[in-house]
Parts: sequence; C-alpha cells; structure tokens
Amino acid sequence: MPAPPDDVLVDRARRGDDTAFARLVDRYEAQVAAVVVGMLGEGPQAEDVGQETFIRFYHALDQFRGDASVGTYLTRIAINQALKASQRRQRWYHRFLRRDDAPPGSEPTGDLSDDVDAAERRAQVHAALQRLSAKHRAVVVLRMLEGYSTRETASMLAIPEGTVMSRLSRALDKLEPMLAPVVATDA
Amino acid sequence: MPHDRDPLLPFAGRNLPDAEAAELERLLEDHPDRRAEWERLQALSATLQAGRADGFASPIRSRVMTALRGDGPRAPGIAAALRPMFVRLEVAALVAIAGLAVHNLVVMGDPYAASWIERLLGVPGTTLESLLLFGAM
Repeated sequence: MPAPPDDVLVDRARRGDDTAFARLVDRYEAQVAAVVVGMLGEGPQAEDVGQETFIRFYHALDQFRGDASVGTYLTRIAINQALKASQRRQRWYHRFLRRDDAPPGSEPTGDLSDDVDAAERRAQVHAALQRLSAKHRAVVVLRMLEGYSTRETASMLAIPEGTVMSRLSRALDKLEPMLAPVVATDA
Repeated sequence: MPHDRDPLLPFAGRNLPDAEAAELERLLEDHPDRRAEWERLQALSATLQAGRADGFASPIRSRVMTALRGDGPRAPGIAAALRPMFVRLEVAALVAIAGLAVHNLVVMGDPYAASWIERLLGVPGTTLESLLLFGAM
C-alpha cells in the first residue's frame, strides 16, 4: 500500500491522529537534522532544537495551509530555532566564560589537513561550518546543503536576496581555504 | 570587492531549470576563467553536500511524541473552530445580497432603488454590482 501523502497525514494529525503525526516526524526527521546539525553541530542541543521544531509544527497545524511544502515549512521553523539556539549559546559563552574561551567554531580547534574518510570528512565540514557566524552558516546550510534558491532562502531568513548573495559569497571565501584539503581529496 | 565567483553564485547548490542551465552554459563557454571558477565551486558544493547530516545521533521521534503527549490531547485552535462559522456567515451574506438585488430589480422595477430594509439600515440600494463587490472582497 502506498504511503499516504503529506496533506493526508497533516489532515489526520490536525484531527488528533498522533500516529499520522509520528509518520510525518519519521518522514522529515532527516531533513530537519540536516538543517539543525548543519547549524549547531551534532549533540544534545541539535536534538533539542529538532524536537522543538516538530513540536512547533504540531501546534501550528491549524495555520499550515499547504502554501509551502511540509519540508519547506519545517525547514523554516528549524533554521529559525537553530539561529535562536546559536544566539543563546553565544550569549552563554560571553556571560560565563573568559573572553579567550571562545565558543566552538569561532577559533580553529584542529588540523583540517589530516587524511579523511567519509565520517571524518563530515566532521571536518561541520567543524568548518561552525567557524562561520550563525547568519553566514544559515545561508550556507539553506543554499548549499539544502538546495533552496536565493529567493526561498531570503524568505525563510526574512532578509533581502542581495544579503543572501553577499553572505554566501563571504561564507564561501572563508570555507574554501578551510575545506581545501578535503576538496582536494574529492578531486 | 566582488569575487570572480559572485556571478556564478545564483546557480550554485541547486538543481537548475533548463533555462538557467542554458544561461550558465553560455556564461561558461564565453569565459574559460569562469569555467575554472565554476568547477571549484562545484567541488566545494559537493564537499559540503557530503558533509550533510542524514539524521540525529539518536532518533527523536519517540521524544517528540512523548513531549506532545505530555501536552495533553490536542484541542483544535480557535481559528479552526471559528472558520466554519465564518464561511456560513459569508454564504448567508451572499444569499441576502443576491435576494435584495433581485427584489429591487424585479419588484421595485429599478436596479438602483432601495427597499425598506436598506432604508431602515441607512445604506444605498443593493444591486447586482453589490454582489460582485462583496464577492471580490
């Protein structure tokens, strides 16, 4: 039997069918994880934000009209929750740690030129992403990892399209040297 | 300072529709330096894609559902609860306007006349145009 389409599951979830909502979680968990882990790195904070994304979606089911796909709607929630979590993390570091104990990602923490296998390559990409500011990272995650267009990215982040392009350009300028050894391995 | 790569960025990291792919192909044919830049950008894009997480370290489905059950049964939002009522009101208003417009046209013989109802309400006579205006709102 074919899996029910999203709109059917959303409608059933709206009427209180938790099994239908659980199927939506299964269907979109990987996509939400890609956004949230791309933004925050792996760990409990990313899982908390992933959970919060689905809970917010659940409570917004009545407002979800299907103008955007479920995936895009969830991505919008996920990226904004992840940005808020990044800001909280940044504030926490500034408040409780010394100035030279910068948050992960703001200072180099390892040698990126080691030999890499697939898992390590993923870790290196994440390490490089974490060295970007949250606002630059969000653009890279949406444009380069998730494949959203400039217009879609601008809409999700509520910024002009020109800002998306300039942030992407600056982010790639920083990422390129950091990932050069991994890119060279791929070539 | 603008980077050589900047004109290529609109194309980066996405599946291109035919028209955009053709535009890109023309750009790359005319500018070999851009082609080299494009290939570097594609390699960087592929590396980033390879680093994309494909799930959480531990699946979150059960904790999402547990958290939702902790919220109690889901009650429909007030907007959802009121929506059918407003739809019925809208239909009723359309029927009333149509009735008045037809009454004014047929019974009073003047499409712009006002019946006792409009006079009582202090509004202009209802016409078929009113129906169109209401439908456009």
